[in-house]
Amino acid sequence: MTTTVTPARAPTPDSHGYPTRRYDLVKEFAIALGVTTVLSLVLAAVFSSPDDRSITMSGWAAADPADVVATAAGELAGTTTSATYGAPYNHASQGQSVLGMRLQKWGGVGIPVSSEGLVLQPLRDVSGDPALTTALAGWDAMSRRQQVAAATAYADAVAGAPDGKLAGISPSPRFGPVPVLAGAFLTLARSGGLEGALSSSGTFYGGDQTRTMLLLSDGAYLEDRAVADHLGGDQWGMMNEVGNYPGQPWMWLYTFWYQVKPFSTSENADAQVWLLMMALTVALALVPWIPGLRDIPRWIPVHRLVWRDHYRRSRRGGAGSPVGQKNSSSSR
Amino acid sequence: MDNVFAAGRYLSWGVVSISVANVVIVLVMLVVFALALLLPFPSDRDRTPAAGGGPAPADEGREP
Amino acid sequence: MTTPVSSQVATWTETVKNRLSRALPPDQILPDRQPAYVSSWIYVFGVLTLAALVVVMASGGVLAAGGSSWWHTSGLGHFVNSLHLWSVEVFFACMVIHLWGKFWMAAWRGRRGLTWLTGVIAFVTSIATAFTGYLSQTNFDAQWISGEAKDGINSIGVGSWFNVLNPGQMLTWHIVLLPLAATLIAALHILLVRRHGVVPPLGDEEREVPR
Repeated sequence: MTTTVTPARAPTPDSHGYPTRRYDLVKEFAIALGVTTVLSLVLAAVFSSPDDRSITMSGWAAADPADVVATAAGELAGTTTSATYGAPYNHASQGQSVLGMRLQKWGGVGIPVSSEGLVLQPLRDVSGDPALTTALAGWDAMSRRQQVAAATAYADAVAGAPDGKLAGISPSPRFGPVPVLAGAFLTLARSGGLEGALSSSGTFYGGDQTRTMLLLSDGAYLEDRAVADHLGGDQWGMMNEVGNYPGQPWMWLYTFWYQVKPFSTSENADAQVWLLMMALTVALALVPWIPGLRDIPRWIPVHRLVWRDHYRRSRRGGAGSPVGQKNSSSSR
Repeated sequence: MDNVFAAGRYLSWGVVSISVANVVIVLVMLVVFALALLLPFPSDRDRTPAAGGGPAPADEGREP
Repeated sequence: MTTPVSSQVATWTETVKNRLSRALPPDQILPDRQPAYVSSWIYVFGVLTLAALVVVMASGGVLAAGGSSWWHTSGLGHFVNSLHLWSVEVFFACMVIHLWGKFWMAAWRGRRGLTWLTGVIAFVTSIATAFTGYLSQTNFDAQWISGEAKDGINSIGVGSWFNVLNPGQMLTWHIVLLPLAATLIAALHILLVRRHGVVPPLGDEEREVPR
């Protein structure tokens, strides 16, 4: 059989045309299973795994009451991160875009969340607190503009409180009912009454923590704890784990972009980094078809270590070479 | 703030910051990779010339 | 005279059987010999990855038996969680070393591009599986990771549908959908390796002499 066409690049020989050796795949798997099992058992026994307890609403209230009050005021004013987020929670913002594509907005408001509701809904469920009932009635009677003005004024006062102490804030009619509302919210949180209040909302089986997490994320305490643990976004946090535990080293490139310009100062960083990583992942998947990239192994011959026995045998006299091209496809 | 929540040990050069734990893992991987390439693999005396073993799809052709 | 069998229309079963046999001849599914050039420790990292995956799933299965909160309150549960975490680290370490090896060997040659492609997809699927696992921890880590990750996922418009703040959804993705996907992709990847055989050494193509 003759080769009639000269390929642009010489074809890879058929692996079935080579001399063979015995190779016990089943035994190899069994040994591999034993090795990985023992290795995992030893590592688990020696290093264990981290389990930092969740931040509860009452834990947050005990650790940073001013933060709870400031967050409550911010939700009422509509100035928190969640209140100004955009899709999927509300229409308050256009959200992020990349290459002119407003992907966040196109996703739609599929999980509508009222930021005011994060504070007001649990409060409305409270009974036996006449001051709170009055404050709620007062709040409902105000126009939205008045509500925003009162809540913003109080939020500013909390932010400027001497030593962050709520007691240092002088009462003012500008605050309207907001101090009572925020105070009642703090009391509710401290008592444990806020646990599950936002995830069950009157049903029995809750479980979806969307609203609770949005509230917690609107405060500073969660992030303060995370940054103290070196998990912050500009601390390569995506790669890290609490304490001295190994994290996710394979996320190094994803988090790298957030550390450098233009992404580190971009309002669209999330969408931009996602698109960039998508492109790089596709490139990795398509390496076999990308000229240049697929030739790197030829230019940097690490493979000479892998196949050094074979190259040595082939140089010595062909015993390791494949049977010639002409035979390898015809006899099957 | 409580010491219970203290961060682990980190190494920093400029914009790069990596935990000691992660560095150890990556270094171990690099060493293992190098060893895998360098350590001799048990050879088998029972080598036969190319015999194949039944029908096989042809792998040759245009790259890849 | 009876109608010859060959002129009858093949049944669906015969069609599937013939296609499978052609794609993967039975004696290639589990060969007891390999080309002589398969003679380096770099070759064991594929099977090590597979073995580690077995440990990951077994430990995950025990965690599933205990339920999503078990490991917080039980010493045994915590140990099994540690086993699950470390087997995942071993899994990723072996998979990445396997990827390094396959890149430097240009293992996509000889029509093995799909093997490489399924390998990358397996890698990405594994990352997604690990991600949903981190979200299922029901502790501080899960709170922080979900709070951060939601921004990335919302920014590309997918957040309404894939809600990382919903532990129930993340858990079911982690223990049902993604392990299923990872297993199917890994199986396809391994079958492709069996079908094409281990890639011959770089440089052998130059040695051939067309007649």
